[in-house]
Amino acid sequence: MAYHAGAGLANLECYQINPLIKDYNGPACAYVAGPFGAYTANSEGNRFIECDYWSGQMMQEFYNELQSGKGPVFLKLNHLHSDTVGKIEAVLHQVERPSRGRFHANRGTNYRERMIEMHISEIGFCSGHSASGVFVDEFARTTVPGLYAAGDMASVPHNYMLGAFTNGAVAGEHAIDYTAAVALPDYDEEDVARERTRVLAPTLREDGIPPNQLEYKTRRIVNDYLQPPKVTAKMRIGQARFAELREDLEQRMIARDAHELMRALEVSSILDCADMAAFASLFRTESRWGLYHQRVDYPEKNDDDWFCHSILRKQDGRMTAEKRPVAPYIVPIEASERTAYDRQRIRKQA
Amino acid sequence: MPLALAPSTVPVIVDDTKCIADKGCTVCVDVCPLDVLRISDLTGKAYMKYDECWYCMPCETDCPTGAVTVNIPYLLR
Repeated sequence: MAYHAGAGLANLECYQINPLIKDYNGPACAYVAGPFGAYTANSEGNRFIECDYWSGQMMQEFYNELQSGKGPVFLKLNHLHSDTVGKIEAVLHQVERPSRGRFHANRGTNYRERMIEMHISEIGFCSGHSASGVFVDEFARTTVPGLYAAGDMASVPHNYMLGAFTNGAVAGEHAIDYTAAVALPDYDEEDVARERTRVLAPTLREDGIPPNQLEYKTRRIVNDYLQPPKVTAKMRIGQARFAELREDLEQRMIARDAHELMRALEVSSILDCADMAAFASLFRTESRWGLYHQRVDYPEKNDDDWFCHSILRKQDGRMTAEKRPVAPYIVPIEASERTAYDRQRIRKQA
Repeated sequence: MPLALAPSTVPVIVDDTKCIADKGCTVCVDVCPLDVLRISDLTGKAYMKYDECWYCMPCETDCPTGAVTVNIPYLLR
């Protein structure tokens, strides 16, 4: 919606990719278990990353380990005391995903007895675990006057729920001041009619493609062509397939009830995101953020040309991208800290 | 073009003998974030209409009579 309103979106090529429990849509959460002594391990039971906290470079090392012959990768807790594991289970199985305990019970897997297999998720957008999202300033303002963004959809990296609540309050308070100075604008009845026609179109067709099939196909093409390592030619094929899907979505999608209409609108957003992911990935001709933006035809990080945000937006009905300088850091950062992100692989130390 | 159904065992099971949807309860339908539960016109009981479950379990946790069970589906076991 922010995209269609003309707001700039930052760094969408910085995908979100998560380490998940194999076959279960729940976070592996080595960062939950880590403070209790658990860690991410290879099939030999050895650590291979310095820090289990989410980052593109951490995911790159995860990916490298899977490719190295020492995979798959596991969450290792079986060296811990049973009571400690119980504490971790209380967080993972009650706070994070209540059905996770049930999943492990079905599999016959117990953290106390053996390591739990992990895997890499499909790609997504989310500044909650990455750095992409609707561009906002310190008052949660987007680039469109009067439009605010807060939470995982805004470009505030790693803010999670606390950050979402805080930025929501910042946005709300600033919006109150802003609205005091502007009158409620007129709107064009024709805009409303046009949007109503777009939204309800799938309900007016007798015959066509159900939303779940369009969603499945969109996701399949995302997985086949947009996943890192990113290859330019594959991205372009993906874009061509998305254009076909968009035509199907606009001309042939059907919704037979309110639930399917909701899903139809979701598919429309999913397809927008897929298109933006490809466009932003092609714009940044370097590699950055580890696996999140690993471009095999531009394998090196290039700070001279690309230490900047990329801002994607809709202008005159078309997708565009431009560079935006990174604002000076408020907190000074040591030179040695600047490269810490790149040093995630465990090394022998004297 | 005609549509066909692909059969699958649904994760959300409702015990009709315990379900009180026919007395006006809609708790499980209301709390489901995926909008997949409905009250049957035929039986007056809750059931899973759309197989798009995320196994998040508020339907089971909030059911006032303990009628709802969420199972991890066969394909994920």
